[in-house]
Amino acid sequence: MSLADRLSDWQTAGLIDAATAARIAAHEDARSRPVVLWAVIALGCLALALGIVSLVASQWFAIPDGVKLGGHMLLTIGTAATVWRTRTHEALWWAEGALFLLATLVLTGLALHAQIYQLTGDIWRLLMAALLLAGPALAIAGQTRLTAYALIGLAMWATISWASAVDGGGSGHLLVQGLAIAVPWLALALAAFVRDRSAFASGLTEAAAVVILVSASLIHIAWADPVTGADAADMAVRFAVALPAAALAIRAQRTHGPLPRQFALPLIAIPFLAAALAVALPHGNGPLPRFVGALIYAAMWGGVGWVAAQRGWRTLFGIAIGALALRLFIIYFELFGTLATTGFGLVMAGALLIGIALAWRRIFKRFGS
Amino acid sequence: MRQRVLAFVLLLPILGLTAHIGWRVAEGAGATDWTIPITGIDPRDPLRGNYLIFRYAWTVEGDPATCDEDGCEICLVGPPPDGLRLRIVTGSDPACKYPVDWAASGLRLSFMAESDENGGQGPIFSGRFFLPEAEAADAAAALGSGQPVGARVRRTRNGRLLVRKLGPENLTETAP
Repeated sequence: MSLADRLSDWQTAGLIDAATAARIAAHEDARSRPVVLWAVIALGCLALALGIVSLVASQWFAIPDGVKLGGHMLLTIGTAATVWRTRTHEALWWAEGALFLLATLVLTGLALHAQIYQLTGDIWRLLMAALLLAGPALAIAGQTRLTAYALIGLAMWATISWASAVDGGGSGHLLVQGLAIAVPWLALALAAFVRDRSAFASGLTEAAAVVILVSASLIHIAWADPVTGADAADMAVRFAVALPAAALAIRAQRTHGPLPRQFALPLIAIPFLAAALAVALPHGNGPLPRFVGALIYAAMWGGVGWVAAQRGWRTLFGIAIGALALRLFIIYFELFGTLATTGFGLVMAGALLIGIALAWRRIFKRFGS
Repeated sequence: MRQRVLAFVLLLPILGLTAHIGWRVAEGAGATDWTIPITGIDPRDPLRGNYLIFRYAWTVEGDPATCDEDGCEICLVGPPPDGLRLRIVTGSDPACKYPVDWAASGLRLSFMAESDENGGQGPIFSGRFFLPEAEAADAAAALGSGQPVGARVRRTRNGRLLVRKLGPENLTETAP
């Protein structure tokens, strides 16, 4: 329904008079943006940029290597200079765009070197080099959520590539894999230390929390598979490597935020513990380990739900309830194989979910709906 | 202090990329040129994107049984630019003047499924080379047709092989 129709409706219902309707319409007109015009211009700019790139690419091998390297270096220097100058003048999105471009130029520069010097090897070397060269700039200069997501994405991509490339079993390889596990907790620690850049810190916290909770939930599948003593010992080493990162995250968040102090344990420590227990404890694949795993899963998401209820974070509360509901359904198919008991279980699960939904509404009424 | 840290992290990518270029240029200084015959692996599809996958057609000396899944210790016999002969060695061999860094050279090792005409199941050393799109089709056709193709390769001081050019004309430079 357009604004004019809504204003007419409100006048008819006696909510506003004609003068108020005119003032509202004038206010909205002053704020409106020519979105369609901008979209067409953006499309034209994109075509222009792609065309230039394609023209350069078609003559790529006719361009001397020195020109390619020199041109790329000039672009990189210019982009770094732009980040420096626009930060001083507080042109936020120019600075963030230049920062993102700088990181992209580092990645593409390393790829260009590989092409020119015919370098070979696993991709993790390129990604780790890009992370070491561009990561500090993203961490120190980033101000928005998008930059935070880019930093954590690059860090995870690089460390997971490295962890996948190494063979499991040797102590050095376990250290590398432990480092990959530690990344989201290191991001939470970094978020606490850069809390003066609130959007960036929030982005790091949100992205890290998503990675931690999703990973910890997926790891619970391990309760359905046997874990031998040798496998558990290897996983214990990996989690021992990541433990200092989790401890640092807890201490940093409790001391500096942005998470409220009392929520650091439920949101940081419990998922770490839940994930570690699933894979670093030897167990079989019978009903008992699966039941224990389900209880640990419920405790983890129950803790998240409690935090969300305390703070009025409806979305997170809804996700916690959804995660619990999903696990509830699965457990009834897992543990009770007969039609009758499965049916009984589904009736109980359905009643429980309806009860939770009604309680959800009551809990959030006090935050205002 | 904050400004200094910011300046440093913005300079870091530039310094890092420059240092990497310097490293690769220094690595190439003092490199020797070799011409090595190559042939196809799968003539039906030697291309992977813009990469040409090929087999080095070395005359191999030494015992392939000393190779493992990570590769072989190998030497070019030489002298440069004659890259026709390759020797598989074990440990440091004083006669090996031109050792090859297996991992840095991007070599792959496999063995023939069936015996060749001499009854051996010799090792296959394969490599890949990034080619411009315009040249890739011609190179693939040359490999598939059986005509002699050579690779102009530079061997750096630390033993890395860098393929610089492919083409039928290269082999005429090493013809006896």
